[in-house]
Amino acid sequence: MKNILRLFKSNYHPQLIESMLKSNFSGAIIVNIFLPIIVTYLYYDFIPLIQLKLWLGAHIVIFVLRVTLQKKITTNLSYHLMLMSATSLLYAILAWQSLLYSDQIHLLLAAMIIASIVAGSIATLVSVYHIFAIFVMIQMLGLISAFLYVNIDIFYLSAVMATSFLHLVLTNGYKQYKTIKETLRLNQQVNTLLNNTGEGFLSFNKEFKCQSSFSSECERIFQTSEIEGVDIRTLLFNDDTEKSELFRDVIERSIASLDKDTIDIFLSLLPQEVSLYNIELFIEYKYLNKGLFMLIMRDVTQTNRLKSKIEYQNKVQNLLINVASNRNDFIDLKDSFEKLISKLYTHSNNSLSIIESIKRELHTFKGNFSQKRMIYIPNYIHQLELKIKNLSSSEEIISTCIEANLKETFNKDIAVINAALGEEYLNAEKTINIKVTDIDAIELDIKSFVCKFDLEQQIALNTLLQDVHKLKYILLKDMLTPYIDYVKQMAFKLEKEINPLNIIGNKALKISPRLALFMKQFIHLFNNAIDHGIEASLERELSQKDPMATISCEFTTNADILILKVSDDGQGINLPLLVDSAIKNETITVEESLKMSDAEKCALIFEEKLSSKEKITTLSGIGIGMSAVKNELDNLNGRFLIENREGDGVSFTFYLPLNTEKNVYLCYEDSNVKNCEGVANAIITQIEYYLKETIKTTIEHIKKEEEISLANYYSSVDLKEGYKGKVILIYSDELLNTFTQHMLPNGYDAQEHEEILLSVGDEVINTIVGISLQYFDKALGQVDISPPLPIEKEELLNNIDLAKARSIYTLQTNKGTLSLVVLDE
Amino acid sequence: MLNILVVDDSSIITKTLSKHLLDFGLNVIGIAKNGTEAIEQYKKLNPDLVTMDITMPIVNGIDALKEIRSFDSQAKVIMITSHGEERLVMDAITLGAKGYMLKPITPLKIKLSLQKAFPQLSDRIESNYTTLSLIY
Repeated sequence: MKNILRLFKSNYHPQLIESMLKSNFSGAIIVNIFLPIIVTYLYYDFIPLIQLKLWLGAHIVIFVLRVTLQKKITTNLSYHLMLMSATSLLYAILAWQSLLYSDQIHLLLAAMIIASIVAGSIATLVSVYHIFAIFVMIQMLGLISAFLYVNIDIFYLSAVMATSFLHLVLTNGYKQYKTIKETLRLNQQVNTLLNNTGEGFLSFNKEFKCQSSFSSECERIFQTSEIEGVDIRTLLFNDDTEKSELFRDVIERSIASLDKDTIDIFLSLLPQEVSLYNIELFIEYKYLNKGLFMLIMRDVTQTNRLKSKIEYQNKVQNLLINVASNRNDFIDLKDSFEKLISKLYTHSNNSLSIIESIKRELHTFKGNFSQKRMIYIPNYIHQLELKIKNLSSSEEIISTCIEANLKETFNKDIAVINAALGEEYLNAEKTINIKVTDIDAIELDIKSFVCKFDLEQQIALNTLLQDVHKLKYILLKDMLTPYIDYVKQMAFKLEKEINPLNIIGNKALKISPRLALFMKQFIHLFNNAIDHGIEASLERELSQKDPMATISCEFTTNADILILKVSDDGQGINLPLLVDSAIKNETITVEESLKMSDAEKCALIFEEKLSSKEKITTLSGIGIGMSAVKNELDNLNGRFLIENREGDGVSFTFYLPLNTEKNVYLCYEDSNVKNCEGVANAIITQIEYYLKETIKTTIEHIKKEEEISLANYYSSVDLKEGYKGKVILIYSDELLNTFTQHMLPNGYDAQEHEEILLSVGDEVINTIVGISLQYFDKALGQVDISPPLPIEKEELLNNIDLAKARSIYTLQTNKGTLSLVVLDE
Repeated sequence: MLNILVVDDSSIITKTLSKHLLDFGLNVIGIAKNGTEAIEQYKKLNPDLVTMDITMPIVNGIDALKEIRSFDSQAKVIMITSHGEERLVMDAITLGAKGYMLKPITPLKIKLSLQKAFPQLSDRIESNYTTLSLIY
């Protein structure tokens, strides 16, 4: 049944039917009027009158129906079917009537009629010319046979008549059919084009009636297929009489004016944006001619939605910029507004002055909030102001304000800020910006007077100094969070499916800017993980892994060590490939590679120009990245650990000393003093190690001296090249003896005592200063050391007097005292 | 370039409109506060274009337009209008107004109206507008 219906619809070309009906109008008159009349006249003697009357009547009815319903038939399939059914029914009645008489002529007539019904039905069904032609032909043949049977004389006459009629119908019809077919085809093409523009095309006349041609988009826009003949105003404005009237006025005036430009100006007064059934339309109006107007309708729902989204984003951006550019100001504003709101609830008296002040405050807040470009609250306050403007009683004003629930709308704005900047942004304490150079200046100030205090006070000052220094510290979280976005972007770029980067660790942890530099190198770690580590999601699914990869970054502290761990669940490092390329690059030899442990092999990833992935991408793979990580790590004296789980990912753990700034007891102003102090500090550190390593003792007390206190034994070395100066160690007898015992545990000849002691002293100074050299301030450059020189007491004093600067420290141990003198020449 | 007569009872509108017109390189040769002044000034100054507010005291924009058009059938008048005055605009256009501008006035609206009123100057107006949009 459905198929039959579909066949009906697909063959139902209103234009075709209309045109065929028109072209056969003359034919119809002949068939339905003249022929029956002639036949009635001719057959009067043979067929009962009632039947002829019926036949004649039937044809007249069909003809009248056809003419009066012509318009309906051509536009509406059901009317067409109805007419055809009516025709068939009339024919059927005729056939039935004829069959009542069982003579041959009646049978013939019945057969002809039945054939007509069948052909007519098929013609209706397919509605194409060929069948129509057959329909006509069968009718004619039937007639001719009937004449032939009855009277041979009449036969000639009727045969000539019928044949010429047939000829007329067929040739004329065929021509028409061809033209119509072609027109239809072209029409179809244009229709297809128009229907696929996605725009609604429609025309209406000066009576506002829509014309029959319109693009299919119109049906979607108006949600009806009944468009033809409908008033355009009803379609566009529904029941909005005001708009309809304006529309009518504009159109009527446009028609009245003859000038095309004036018509355009009139048409521009028509509403361009109309919303219908949740569709927002942008409409253009065009004047065609002869009182016809055209509408071009574009669905701009999506565009508008996008537009308003962008507008909203713009507003949010403006708000955020304003809030962020002066956070403290905004926090103050927020606090005072919240105070005002609570004042509304807790007000004790409704005196006019209080109401006035509330009104005033509200007005000020409105201004302030719109200055901050807040999205919701300014307009809301404005509405509230309009509401309370006309209220006279203070109770009413207060209750209206409370009812308005300002807090709720205000919180909408706050929610926007929180969503973008995080909840803690507005809740955190107020902050101020301090220039790093200002902190540097404070540090310098403290340093400048450190030396005026004794060592213990200096240590306290040093703590203060460190506290000041920590002001420059940066939140580790802030250094890492940008990678969340970065990972997202890179994953998108490289078409990998990765969960948002998970950063775990104490949000409040702050690190020195020096360490923060290391975090900048993490970019290479993430590049490496995304590009080389993480597999494509299909590959992951095949190896039974979660198609969404995970990269995480954790950090903790342990004592003074910062532990950072970056792990991914990718394929891990391909060790054989890595080793291969290391050998290819001549970073290691084959023999070396055989001896290497897995951990050592993993560490190759940090080597320059190495990468386990052969393909070099713009992102990673050039090998410099990972070596940059290692380089920075070395600069910070950090350590690393790689845990490679082949096929399951890899974790990089980094251990970094948190306190990168050595606290130095600073007491110098000019560069000589600074150098001399620096050298002394480096040497003291080495003395500490040396004492621990050799005679297992520690420095109990360090004291800075102004003058040297002489003892029996002292050794000296000269410093050359980068730094010119002299280092002197003055040993207490006890300490030197301890050193001697340590060096010569088997004893020595007592006669050589003095000499031995002196050479032990020389040996000690040589070792200590020798090792210290590498810890001297890099700014000094390469410093060389002379062999230990014997130095006389007078020469020593002389040297001290001549020195440009000097540092003298007494180091107290439980095994004697050691004095260090550094002289700058 | 063109000489313009600005007619509006609101001094804010006349100020902003004059500024915009000046930016377009046009000469504002007169400012009228109501219809009567507009008619007088038109007769005196014979401007190339009048921007005419519709609702004004004493003699409104429509009557002033009528008077001006009857004095000079070639007069070019652009109406300044607000929302809800569509019918008055239609009257004005029937009476020969060359176009209308819906408040608030923007350089873009000025550009479009000017181009409609002076199609022969269209390119020049366009280039002035481009310069303007570079400035703002």
